[in-house]
Amino acid sequence: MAQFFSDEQTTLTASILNRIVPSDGDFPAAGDLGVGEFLDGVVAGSAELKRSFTTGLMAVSMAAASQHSATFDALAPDAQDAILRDVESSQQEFFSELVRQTYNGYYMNTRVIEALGLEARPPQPKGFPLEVGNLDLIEQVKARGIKYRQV
Amino acid sequence: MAGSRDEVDVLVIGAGASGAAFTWSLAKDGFDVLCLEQGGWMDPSAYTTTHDDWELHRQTDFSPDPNVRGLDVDYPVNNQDSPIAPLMYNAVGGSTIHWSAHFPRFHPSDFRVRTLDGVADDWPINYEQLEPFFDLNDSIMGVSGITGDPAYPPKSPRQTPPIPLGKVGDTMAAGFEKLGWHWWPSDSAIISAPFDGRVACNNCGPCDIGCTRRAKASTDINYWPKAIAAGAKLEISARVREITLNPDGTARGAIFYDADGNVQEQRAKNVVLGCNGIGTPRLLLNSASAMHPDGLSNSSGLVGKNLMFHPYSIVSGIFDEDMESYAGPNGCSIISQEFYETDPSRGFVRGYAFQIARGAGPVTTAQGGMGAGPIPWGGNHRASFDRLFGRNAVIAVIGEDLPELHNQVTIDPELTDSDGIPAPKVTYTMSDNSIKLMAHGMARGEEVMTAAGAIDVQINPLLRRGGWHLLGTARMGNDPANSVVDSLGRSHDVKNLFIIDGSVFVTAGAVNPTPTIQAVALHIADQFKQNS
Repeated sequence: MAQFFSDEQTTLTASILNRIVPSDGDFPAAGDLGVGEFLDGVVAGSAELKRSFTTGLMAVSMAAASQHSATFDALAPDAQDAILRDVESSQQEFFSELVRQTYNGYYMNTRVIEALGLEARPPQPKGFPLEVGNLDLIEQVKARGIKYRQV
Repeated sequence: MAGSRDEVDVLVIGAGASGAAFTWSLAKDGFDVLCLEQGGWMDPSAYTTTHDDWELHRQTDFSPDPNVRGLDVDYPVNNQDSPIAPLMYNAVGGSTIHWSAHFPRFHPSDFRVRTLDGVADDWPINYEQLEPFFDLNDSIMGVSGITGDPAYPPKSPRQTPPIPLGKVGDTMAAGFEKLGWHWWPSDSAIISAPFDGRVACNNCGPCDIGCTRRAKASTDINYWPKAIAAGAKLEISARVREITLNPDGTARGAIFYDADGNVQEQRAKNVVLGCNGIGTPRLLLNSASAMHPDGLSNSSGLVGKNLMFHPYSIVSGIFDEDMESYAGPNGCSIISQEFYETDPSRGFVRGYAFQIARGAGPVTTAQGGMGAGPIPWGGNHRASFDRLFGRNAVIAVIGEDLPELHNQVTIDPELTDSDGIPAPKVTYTMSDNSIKLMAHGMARGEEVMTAAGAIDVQINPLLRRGGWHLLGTARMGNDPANSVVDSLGRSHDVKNLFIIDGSVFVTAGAVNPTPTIQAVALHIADQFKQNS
């Protein structure tokens, strides 16, 4: 159940997100992954975002209608991308927030993190193993002599 | 009508890096000290490093930028006339809550800039005077590192061995060696082995969203428990509005809003400001009176002037192998001071340091990390991401900006905090020397990144959200016409008013300032005790 998006906006958003991060091998497209739900929650929490997303999503639908007499989700990927690039320049605030929040929702998703070859877990409490490194090299630094200015 | 309370001997305002060190120093020797802090206590177990959405918090409620957090305990800063946004945290521990804990000291030459290079001014104190306080501070904060760095006079043994270099540190070190340039494992206020009842760092990465393990030093977990055990009093949610004066012109205390929003006056025999390089001039300017029409302790006209930030340029290198660059404390691995000291042949004075950074998780990588912006969306998105994630290394070029009168903190005519106290405005621009210095740093950064084996190098010339260091706005000096406080941190104009934070810095050096801020605070505390 969407918190803010209407049914039409939910469908449209999924199509848009599938072009922001398209599928690639083990990586699902962002819309198919359900990042739209995350986005809906973010937009629902901000009056400013409600305004810019209401306008931005409408602009996408209107561009599809005017350029192709079709709905956005019915268009081929190339045509969708062309429309999104137009909206990126005409509705900059909407679009930059759309991209930012899509990345946020996508790259904290368990399936995506596992596809990256990582354990899907936060940094703590496990942390990461890390090599101490080649500290023998500091002997060469020392051998080059004093590096600070005498006063 | 202000509520009245018992007078204290020493009132410290601000419980951050400097206020904690100063309060501890006095309390352990039996002084009656009260500290007022506008923020509250942090609960390390509540930091979001254990949350699945941990990376989102640095964009929102744990942003380093108080304007983004917008919490009631924060105050807004008008940063529209500055290419660098000032950053800070407001809590017990101050900005040590969200800092990266990179812990390099100033150099001896940093205190003698006028004598050596003919610019800015000399400090009225020097490295030798501060050295015992650097050592004392290290012993409380807990510093990992290794002695023998030829870029410094010999230092006391570090509390724990260096933070692991990891593949990023190792690779970059090899690049520096190829060019014969200085590098050294960073002094880090993060313990790599158990110390003082705290456990070792486990290299989780995001120091900037708070250290759940308490391996990273912050003054709420080291200085404050010791200070309180020694008898110091700390009152939280206490936001100071102005310093009040006695008829004889000495400081009488401070008016503040308590936790319930009531106005109180706290009287004190001595008042000490540790509110950082923006909060301290804000408070002094907001304390203007008939006796001090241009702001308290401002007969020199220098309160709020000479703001220094350290401009940062970011040189990002991409490697064609897995560097595991999401792991390890994000601000601490190795440092280079090859270009730290002045070389007139470079066409500018003073210098810069390279701080090797790492630790960008998946979300932060997609958002562009400290680069110029997010990676592309669309058909190339996934390939762009995979090329970067875990495969990059970052050089933060930290440059010395000089004290310049046009860079300043003033009071914004409209903006206020949640208690209605007028908020600060920063006005800052970079001089020709700073621009040349950073340009040199970017070029040398690219050179060493290539030497280290990067297949692609991207440069962000100026990090906007990089104003971590707030310095110079109430500087110390021997001449009251040309400084706000003397070498003991005492106001030239108000004899029982002291300033102990980064405001007193005469110059900025080219290193993260906290160890030097704390050493100066301990030096001022030591002198205060001797003179009492």
